[in-house]
Amino acid sequence: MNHKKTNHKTIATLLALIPGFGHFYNKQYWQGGAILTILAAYVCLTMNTVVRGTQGGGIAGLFTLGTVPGQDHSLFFLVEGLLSLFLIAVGLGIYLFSIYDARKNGRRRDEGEPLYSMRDQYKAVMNRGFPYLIMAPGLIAMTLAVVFPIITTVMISMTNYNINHMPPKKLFSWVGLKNYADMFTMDSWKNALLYTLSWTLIWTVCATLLTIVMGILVAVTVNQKEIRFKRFWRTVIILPWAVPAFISILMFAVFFNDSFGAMNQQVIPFFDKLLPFLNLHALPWKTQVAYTRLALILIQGWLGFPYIFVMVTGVLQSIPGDLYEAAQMDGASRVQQFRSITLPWILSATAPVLITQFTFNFSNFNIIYLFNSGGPVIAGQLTGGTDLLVSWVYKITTESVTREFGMGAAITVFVSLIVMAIALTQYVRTDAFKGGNEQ
Amino acid sequence: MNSKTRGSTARKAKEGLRVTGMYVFLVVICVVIIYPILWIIFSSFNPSQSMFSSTLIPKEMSLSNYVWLFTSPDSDYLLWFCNSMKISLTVMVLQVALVSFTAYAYSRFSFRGKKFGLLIFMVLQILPLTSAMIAFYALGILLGLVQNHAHAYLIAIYVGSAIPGNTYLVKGYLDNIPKELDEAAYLDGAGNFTTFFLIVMPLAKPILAVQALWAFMTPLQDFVIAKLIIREPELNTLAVGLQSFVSGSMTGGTQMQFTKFAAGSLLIALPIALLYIFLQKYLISGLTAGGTKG
Repeated sequence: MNHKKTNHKTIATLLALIPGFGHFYNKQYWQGGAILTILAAYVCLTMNTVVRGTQGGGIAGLFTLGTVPGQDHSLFFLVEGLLSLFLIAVGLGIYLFSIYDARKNGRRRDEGEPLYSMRDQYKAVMNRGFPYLIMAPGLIAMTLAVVFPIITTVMISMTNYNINHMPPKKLFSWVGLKNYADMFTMDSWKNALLYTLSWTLIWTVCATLLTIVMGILVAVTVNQKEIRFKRFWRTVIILPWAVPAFISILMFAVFFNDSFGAMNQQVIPFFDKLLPFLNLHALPWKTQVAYTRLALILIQGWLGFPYIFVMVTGVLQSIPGDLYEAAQMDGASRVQQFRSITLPWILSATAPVLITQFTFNFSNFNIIYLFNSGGPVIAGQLTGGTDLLVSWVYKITTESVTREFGMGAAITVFVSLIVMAIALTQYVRTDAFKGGNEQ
Repeated sequence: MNSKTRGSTARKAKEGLRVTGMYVFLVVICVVIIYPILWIIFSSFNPSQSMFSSTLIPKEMSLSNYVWLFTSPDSDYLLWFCNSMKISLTVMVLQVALVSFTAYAYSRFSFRGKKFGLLIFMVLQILPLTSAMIAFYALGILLGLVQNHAHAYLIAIYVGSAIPGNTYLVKGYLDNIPKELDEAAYLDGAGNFTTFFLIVMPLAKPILAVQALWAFMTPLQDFVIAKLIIREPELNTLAVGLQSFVSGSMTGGTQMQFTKFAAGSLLIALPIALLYIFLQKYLISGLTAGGTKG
């Protein structure tokens, strides 16, 4: 097809090393001008941050984390270093894309094909690029609000940022994986970690199972055809879900107060009168670990089961009635019907949401913090009696005198890995994920 | 004949017992649900600061707590309310827009990096927001957001962190809207945006309503991040403000003002609860369509 031996591809690629010039060479003046302007503007805008730094030290700050104690703030050096790295990556991306585009157009010229005009390229962006275009705002928001902070946390976990290295008075520096090693080898950390981790696991399993079992049981009961006033029951049961959780939790925090809470003042005396032989008396809900834990699990059941109830109610309405008719013909009892039709149907339809319940409770910060701040305090222990891993991290970084940001971040990373591992292995198994992936 | 009737009476008795058992179970559940709620309602009408009360219904009842919230110069309740509404409404608009765009892209187009993108969303949706708290704080201070634009920063965090999980839900719903409709629109000469706004979005109304409700609720529910970001008392949201009524109750310090907390909480919980009850049908269909299909 091509008769004259040309080498536009190589020349355009080489010239494109100077932004825009590859396109100029290909006589795509508009495109070349646009690339040159965009890159120049980008460099001007980011230059100051990347090279000199505004509150940190630009890209170099990522390595030094500051040099002058009392003046340099290591955390800002770290964050600005990361920001610089990100800015450089974006700039480099634009630059490499311009070279790639010039090279592609050079090849088209070598092969004697027509080049794209500005209008063609606009059209191409609107069609093939459309999905990227409409996702861009969401992805940018997500990067800033989620991805960037997570990367920062991973970075902090590899520093010795704590009360002894507290910027701006002092600097902190890179320590590699020392925090992770300390977490499992130093006695004080190891004991606290094991204590917190074991309660976190007990809590996750008990609270979630209570929620799920109650949700399914109540939904199936309300849905029985003999039960009347279904609307009424549903409306009442939906209430704990409809009240904002932080309000309910704060309410229960007072409800279970040892001295003046309604539990000890009203509920227990009532049952004591009703069933005097049980010899009930006020219980130390906030001051003894076992009772606080029991209260927390009960409260989470109260808060969480209506959500499962609502979902299971929806699923129950989708089970075809002839399944039950067939089962009745075969003489299956109600329990058998429940076990072999209803339950499997519910579980397979709601599996992803049930898994989410586990991961949610694993890091359910709100209830622990608002109910009793992770207390009661345990003497000689770095962690509170009901602290979950997440609330423990919050405590050692913000509240106590230790201010262990580095260790806190390391524990956070450790926790996140566990949560992700559990959730991902389970998700991948569910049908919903497979179905969603085919699209 | 005789034994047959006896068998059927026995079955009837068993059946009646079963139904009674179910009603008893439901009544117990409802009492457990309603008792604490009644307790907080009656507390809000209790004029005394003291919480000691051996009965559910206090001896005196008055509206003094409600009056205090709205009229006392010491009360910032209206200010908190305005702050929360401002944040919630902004988050609602932005989140519904961004999530529906992203979900539309994932549901209707195939493009390079799609599978990888879905996987990243999956991972990010699992991670708790609390795992990035240190970074939120550091980043906010560095960029001056905590000092000068606390509300805007909060909005950005709420919207950004809501994208991965909610994209999944909405994508699941959009997948169930037949693609033939889009193709017919394209044949009629509609562009991508026209198809999106005039064909797909109207059919996705139920899930968008659910989205809007959740987006509106997130900032009202959140206590942790708001507490971390907000420095000035006049910028407090309802959650942070109301918590200040009952914080310090254990350590002494500030006097616990549970009755005021009760009144202030009820005023926001009531409209939200009514909204949930009215939207019950939508919530169920939105949850089961999107939530269970991944």
